[in-house]
Formats: sequence, C-alpha cells, structure tokens
Amino acid sequence: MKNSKYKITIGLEVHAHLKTQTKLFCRCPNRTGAEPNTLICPVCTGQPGTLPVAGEESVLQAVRAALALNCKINKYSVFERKQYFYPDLPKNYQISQYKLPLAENGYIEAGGVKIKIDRVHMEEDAGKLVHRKSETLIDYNRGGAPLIEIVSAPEITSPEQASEYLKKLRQILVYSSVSDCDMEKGSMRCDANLSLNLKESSRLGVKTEVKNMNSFKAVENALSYEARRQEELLLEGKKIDQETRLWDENNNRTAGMRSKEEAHDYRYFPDPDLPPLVVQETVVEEIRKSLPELPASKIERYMGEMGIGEYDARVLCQEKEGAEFFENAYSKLEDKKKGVKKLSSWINTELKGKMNTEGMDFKNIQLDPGSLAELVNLIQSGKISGKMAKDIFEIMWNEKKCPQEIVEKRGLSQISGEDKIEGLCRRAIEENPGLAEKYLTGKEGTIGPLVGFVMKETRGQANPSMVNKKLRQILDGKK
Amino acid sequence: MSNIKTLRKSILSGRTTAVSAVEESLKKIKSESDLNCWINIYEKESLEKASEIDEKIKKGENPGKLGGIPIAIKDNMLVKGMKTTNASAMLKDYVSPYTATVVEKLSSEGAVIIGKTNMDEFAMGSSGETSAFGVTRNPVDTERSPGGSSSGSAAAVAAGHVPASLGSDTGGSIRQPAAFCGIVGMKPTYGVVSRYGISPFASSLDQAGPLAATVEDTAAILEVIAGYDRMDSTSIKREVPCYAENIEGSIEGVKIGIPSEYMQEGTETAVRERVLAAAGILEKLGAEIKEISLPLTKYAVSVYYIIAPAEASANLARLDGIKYGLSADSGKDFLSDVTASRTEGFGSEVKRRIMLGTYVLSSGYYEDYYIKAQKARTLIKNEFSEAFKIVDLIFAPTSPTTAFGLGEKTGDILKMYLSDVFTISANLAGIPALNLPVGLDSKNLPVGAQFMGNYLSEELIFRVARALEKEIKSSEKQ
Amino acid sequence: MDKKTIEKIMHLARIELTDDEKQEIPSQMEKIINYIDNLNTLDTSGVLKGEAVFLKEMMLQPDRVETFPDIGLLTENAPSFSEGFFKVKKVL
Repeated sequence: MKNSKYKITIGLEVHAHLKTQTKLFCRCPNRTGAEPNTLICPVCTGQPGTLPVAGEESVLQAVRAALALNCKINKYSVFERKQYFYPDLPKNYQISQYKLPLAENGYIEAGGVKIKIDRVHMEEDAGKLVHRKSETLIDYNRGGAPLIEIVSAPEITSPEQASEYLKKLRQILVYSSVSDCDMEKGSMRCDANLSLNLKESSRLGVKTEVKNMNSFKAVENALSYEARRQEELLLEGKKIDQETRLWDENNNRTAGMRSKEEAHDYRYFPDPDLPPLVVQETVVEEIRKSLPELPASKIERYMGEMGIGEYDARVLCQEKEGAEFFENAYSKLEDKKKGVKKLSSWINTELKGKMNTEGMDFKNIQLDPGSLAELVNLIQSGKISGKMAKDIFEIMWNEKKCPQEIVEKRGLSQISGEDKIEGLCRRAIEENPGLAEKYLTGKEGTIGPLVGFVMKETRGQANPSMVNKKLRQILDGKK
Repeated sequence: MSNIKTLRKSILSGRTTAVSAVEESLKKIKSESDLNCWINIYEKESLEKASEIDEKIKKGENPGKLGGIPIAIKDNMLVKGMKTTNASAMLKDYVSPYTATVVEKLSSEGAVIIGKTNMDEFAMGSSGETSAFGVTRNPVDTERSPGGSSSGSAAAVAAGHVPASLGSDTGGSIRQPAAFCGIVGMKPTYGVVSRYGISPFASSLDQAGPLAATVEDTAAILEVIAGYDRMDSTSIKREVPCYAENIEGSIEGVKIGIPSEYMQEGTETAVRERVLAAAGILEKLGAEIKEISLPLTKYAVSVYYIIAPAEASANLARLDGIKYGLSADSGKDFLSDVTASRTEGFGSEVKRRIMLGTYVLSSGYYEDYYIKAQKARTLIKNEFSEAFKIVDLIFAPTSPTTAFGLGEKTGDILKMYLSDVFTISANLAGIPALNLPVGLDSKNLPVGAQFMGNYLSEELIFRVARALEKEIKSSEKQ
Repeated sequence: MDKKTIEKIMHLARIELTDDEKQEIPSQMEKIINYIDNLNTLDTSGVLKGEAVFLKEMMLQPDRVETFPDIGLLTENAPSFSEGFFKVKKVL
C-alpha cells in the first residue's frame, strides 16, 4: 500500500482469557483440557433460578491488565446483558460491559507510536461448539470463563503496526501475569475493523470486520489481504459492504460471512442480577504498586542505568522470564559496568541461539543465571578466552555444571603468565620465520597468523590479547 | 388447619405428631383437589421428612423452628430432584438439579415441603388463569379468581391445606392473591430474601415471601427464609431480626399515611370503607393517621409494564430447548428449532410479555421506553423516600377490587394489568409491603389492605399489622 | 405497531404466534404501548440515571473452586445429550 492513494485505518478488538482459579460468575474451575461438560454447574449452564456472582480475582486481574495498559479505572462500572440466540450461549445473553466499562483511555507504545486504547471491559466467555457433518456439539466447560476485551482506537495505520500492537499487548499482559495470551490455544483472540480512505480525506471509509485470525502472522496477512481487496474495489469505483469477513488461512483470503437477514440488535441493558461493580481507589493503588516493572520501563532502565544499547535492551525484555534471567545474572556480575554488555550479548546470542535450536524457553531452561554471570566474570578477568567460554558454555548447558568447576576439572584455565606467553611467542617466531620477516618489512597483518599459531599450540588457552601484545613487543624490538 | 404456633406446640408436646399433621394436610389437599391449587404433591417425601422430625422429637433433639410444619411452595422454586414447572408447558418435565436457598432454609428448620403450588405461567398474571395446568380457584368463592400469580400458594393457605406457603411477588403476586383469599402475605424489602433457585420473572422486582393465616405465622416464616446468600449478588448482608418474637407491642405514636391516590373512584367503595374502618382502629390504638399524596402512582403501571417485561424477555431467553425444557423439531435448522420450541412451550401471556419486553429494549425504542421508565422508577423511589420522612408507614388498599370472577378480565389485558396498580409501586421502590385482611365486602369477599414501610422496616410492619389484626379479630368475635 | 415491527420482535425473541394470537397480541400490545405512553407527561429531565433498586454494592466471591457434585442432573434434562455433549442440529 506504499504507493496507494488510500490510507488504512485499523481498530483492533482483542479478547484475552484471564488467569484465575474460577470462572467469572460461578465457582467452576477456569481451565482447559478437561472432558467436555465436566467443568459446569447450574449457573454456567443457565439453569432456571441461577444468578451470577462475580469472582474477586477476575475483577482484580482485569484491573491489573487495565493498569498495565495505562487505562483509567472507572470506580463504578456496570455489567449488561448482550442478547442474541446462539447455542454456545447458555442464557442466550452474554454478561458483558457496555455503557460503563471497567476502564478507559489507555495506550500502548508500539513501533515508536502511542496507540490509544479506548476501553477495557470484562465479560464471560461462551461455550465451545464442535461442528460435525449433521450436528453441532456443545461443550460448556469454557462457558463463563473470565475475559477482558481490549478495544483500540481506530488509529492503527498498517497491518504491520497491527501486528506490532498485538505483540506489545501480548507482552504486557503476559508480563503482568494476567493472561497466557496464546493465540493458537484461543486464550487471546483478535478481531479487526479495517477501512480505507483517501489520504487527503479525514472521513473514514466503510469498514469491514475481519475475524478468525489465529496468529500474529495471520493478523498481518489477513489485514494486508483485506486492505488490498478494498483498494481494488475502490479503484474499480465499487462500494465496500459493511460486513463481517472470515480469514481463510488455507486459501489466504477473507470471505464474507453469509449475510444476516437483519443487523444485530443486541438489546443491551444493565443486568438486574448484578449491582454496579465498585473498584475502590485503594484497591487500584494497591494493584498499581504490585504491578511488575513493564517492558517499556525496563528498557529505559537498562539503557540508562546499565548502559545497554536499545536493541539489546529490547531483546532482553521480550519476555518477562528473559528479563528476570538477565537481571538475576546481572546482580552477580563482578564488574557490572564492564560486564553488562558481554552478559547481554551472551544472553541474546549464545543462550537464545541454544534455546532456539533445542526448542526451549526461559520458563524451562535448566541453566542458572548465576553461572552465566560467572562465565562472564571469568572472561572479564581474563581467566578464559571468548573461544574457551563457548566450549565451557556447551558443557554448562549439557552437564548443568558451573563454569568454575569446568575450568578447574579440565585444566582449561587461560594461559596468561607473562613468562609462559613470552616463551610461546618466541617459539612462534622461530617456527614461522617467513611471517616474522614480513612483519618486520612493514606487513603488520602477519601478526594474526602468528597469534593463531600460539592459540593453536595452546588449544585456545592462551590469552589472545596478551599474545598479540607480546609478539609485537618482541618483533618491534628486532626492528 | 391450625396456625404454626399452635401446631408447633402440639407437635413438640406430643399431643400430635408431625406425621399426623402432614397426613391431615395431605387428606385436605386430596379432598379439595377441585381448587387446583397444587401442581405436585410430595406425599412420600413429606411423610418421610415428618417421621424424621418425630424421631428427633422423641430423642429430645431440636426439630427446628418449623419442625414438622407442612409448608407449600410456589412452583417456580427449585427442589433438587423434583420437578419445577413454573406452570408452563415449557418446563413440565424439568427436574431441578439443585435446591433454592429459601427451600434449603425452610428444610433446615424442619419444615415439611408438602408440594408445589399452581401459579400463573412464569409468574405472569394477576388471576391464576395463565397456568398451563389449569385455573386455580378461590376457596372463598370457587367461581372467582384467587388472584395471581401466587394463586395456589394463597388458595392452599386460605383453604387450610397448609398453615403457610411461599410465594413470589414481582408486582403484587403475593399481596394481591393474599387479599383475594383473605390471608396475610408479605413482600419483604428487595434483597432480604435470596432469589437463588427461584425462576425469575423480573430480577430487579422479584422478591419471595410468606403467605399465612396470621401475621405472626408470616413473621415466623420470614425469619427462617430471610438472610444473606452469597449466591445472590443482590442479597443484603445483615443479621436477620427475630420478627416473630418482637411482634407484640404498642403502636402508640406510629405515624401512618393513607395516600389519597389509592382511595379514589377507581377503588371499590367497600374496599375504601373497610380500609378507612381499619385506619380508625389504628387510630384508636394510638397511631397517628394522616392523608398523604403519592402523585406518581399513576405512572407505576406504565413503568412496571416496561421494566418487568424487558427483564423477563431476557430471563426467559435461556428457554431454548437445548439444555432442558420442551424441544420441538421444526424440520428445519437449529434456530428454527429454538423458535418452534419457544412457540410451543410458552402460553399467550408469556409470549405477550416477552414481545413487549423485546420491543421496549430494541434499538430505536430503548431510550424512549426502558431508560425513561428507569428514570421514572427513580422518581417513584424518591417519592416514597420523601413520604417516609413524614410518616412511618403507608396504609392503603392492596387491590382496587375484591376477587373478580374467573374469566372476567381475560378479555381485556389492559384492565387486567391495571388491577396491579396498587401493588406495583412497592416493587418498583424495593420497599416491604404486607397484605392484611381487613373485613369483607357485601358479597362476603375478603378486603385486603397493605402496609408499606421504608427499607428494612419489616419489624415495624409486623408489629402494627399484628396490633390491627388482633383488634379486627376480637371485634369479629363480638 | 406495524406488521414489520411485530415481525422483527418475533424474530428477535424467537417466538411465533398462533393464528389466534396473531389476531390478538399485536392489537393488545398496541393498546398497552398507548397506555404506557402516559409516561411522556412525566418530566424526568432532572434524573441523571435510572437504575434498579440496589441497596448495596457488588459483593465479590473469593477465587476458590467449588465443583458442582451433580453434573448428571444438568445433562439429564437435555433433550439431546450424548458422548458428553449437548447436541443441536448443525449450526452454520
């Protein structure tokens, strides 16, 4: 869309499943993976006479999420009934929030831009439908699970930015331990509204709603497709129908849902079974204080206090567990100022590379952050070379041993004794007269192969910078 | 059948047994089945429970505040393992998977649930005529309506089948049938009695309460069923007063207002006369009677017939034939099956109210009807608050008429709806109200008057009603 | 109240009317709506919000699982239940 005369406007509605023990309005377990219809009770199957009673943890989790998204919490919010007949909805209405949501006016920084969040509200999940050839099966286990819906302002200007926003949103919610936000497992779901309008115009065009996107990639692909589709229609002078379209992953396209006979009329009204939800200022402040440091502030701190570059800081903060690993290791560095860069590059390159090839993540690695710090300490103090460190790291990873122990057991300590180095260098010059000659005639590049010779002879145990220095010293003396 | 207090004494002293009290009740029920006030009778279960109670008494254990007392409950209250039909074809085979809190509370105090009483379908009606199980008859005059919607609960007590019953009151459904049948019935403050396990009609108006022959028995039952329930978000957390114990006492200086709007031509002369006569007695007992005005009364029916159907339309949406209830095969798709089930399952009155409720909530009408009605409701609430700054209680007719004939109003729905005009306001405001029989009209039909009080003023209501009841009864004896 | 409105309501409410009801209900509704319109003579402009009568704030429940012991009673009432699922005709 780079050279298009249209600009894209996207708004995202994200549903995230809250982590709690119980469902939103009953005390059934809030979990997945059970046999169908075994996590149910009279309330979440809509038996006559049952009443919703909100769970405290759901409310606190929702407040936590809203605060992490920089929202203002409404002291009073109201649950309403959203009415439509569908078999996954046992009461044929969903308890949600409409006019007075839990929280409003937040934002996320994504790709250097602040994207406004209009509202965060709470609602109950529907059951799960399994479609067979001739019948539909209903499992109410998920019915009544606590959700938050996060509605962005229509301020997102590209599919890439949408994906960036989602990643950021996910990162924040996971950091705050509010949700797992696993799109594949359905604990995070995203619907998008997309419209095009002429670049010079400020009036938004007709939007379509895109659903059924089950990964970040799918969101990006679906929205790119939808933007192109709308652009083509507009260029042909055709009109865009306001409709809901489903992303078809296999065929890489969106398709309109069979048009409904009439527009939805949800007949929202305040649920008379539930008094207004009151969230006291003291509760909000308590949660605000208990919020973990979020990525944005961590990155700032890493760059400021620790002097890490922006890129490295961002990579370190991608996951909460990763940042925790780093901070833990950092606290054990002997020389923090000098060691921090090495540490961050070790985490971001060596460790993450290893984790990638082994399919592990920070949640399940066995490596102790303290031993990685120790490894960096050994490098910093010159006791081992970078090359040796890599070998030691391999052993650390495989045998779960601490580096000091490995170094001692295998006699891997770096050769840095002045006399020993000097002897090695003299031997190198003697055995490579050609290289030494060339150096003396001004081709100083030959110092490299000479250092290499020493390193090879010592199986990498010599301190390369000391070797370099010593070789020059000897040769320069011969000039 | 004797009242609770007497019966309890007899059972405890061994002059009679719980089993024989239940047997007497069952015999009466069977001999008067033409009243059609029952939908289900728990013969076996109630006899079992009664003999358990007798065992307890024999062993010297406490059988509970209502040990061995036969009690009827309206068929919108769930009893686990038993049917709860709501007097609807939709739920004629529905077996309750759990027990309502009010029923739990009755049972744990030793009450014997004799069975479920007939009612207007889903508690929608003012005459007992909308039941899918047939019309309930008024024991005072079987050609007349017992009132509704707790028609069976009122008729069963009036006929002496049981000393007390539970009903539910959304717009007068306890008080109006109590008035028509000549018994006592109370709708407590909204939130005093748990709604958990009672099929809702209109959630913000519904409140369950007792019907009994005397004020004291009514108080005794309320004492048992009231109290905070964590299963109901609207239930009030507060210690339950000893209503029955504190019932006797002077009413000297109690200020009682009679709203002029309830005493105009629309109200039958005999009803007005009996209410005024009762007011005279109250005055004699030391109460201060004042005329007051509640000008918003004329809007109550409108507000009610917006809010109640709106809530009901959503409450009844869950009846779709998927999880339970009547399921009809449309021969077409899933949604058509839902429509077919609802079309077959619901009677005309229920359909009418669902449609009305759907209409007032639908887009384009929501603001004009639903929001407007909610605002008017706030004004009505405020009007009562103002009135209770001047008086302690309000005393007024429960219904503009005495029991009307069966079939008399079914042809004119609006007329039927307007018969709730005096009872609706208490539900809209959420305040407690109690019907007390205050005499008979020229056709020997009972006239009912109601005391309305401020929030949580049940104790005062009981005390004043008890004082009046005593005077009326002693003057009847003379 | 025109036919289209009635039909829309019937559709939203998933209710159909019998022939008798078709004769009665729409006109009765009309009558009731006309009556209800007396509310227009009531000035509610000073009322900020209307709400149900709640004598309390929302009470919240602690996050402790309580499993319902009689799941069988929840499924036995279902007109069509097998293989652990409630069933309906295929939903498109």
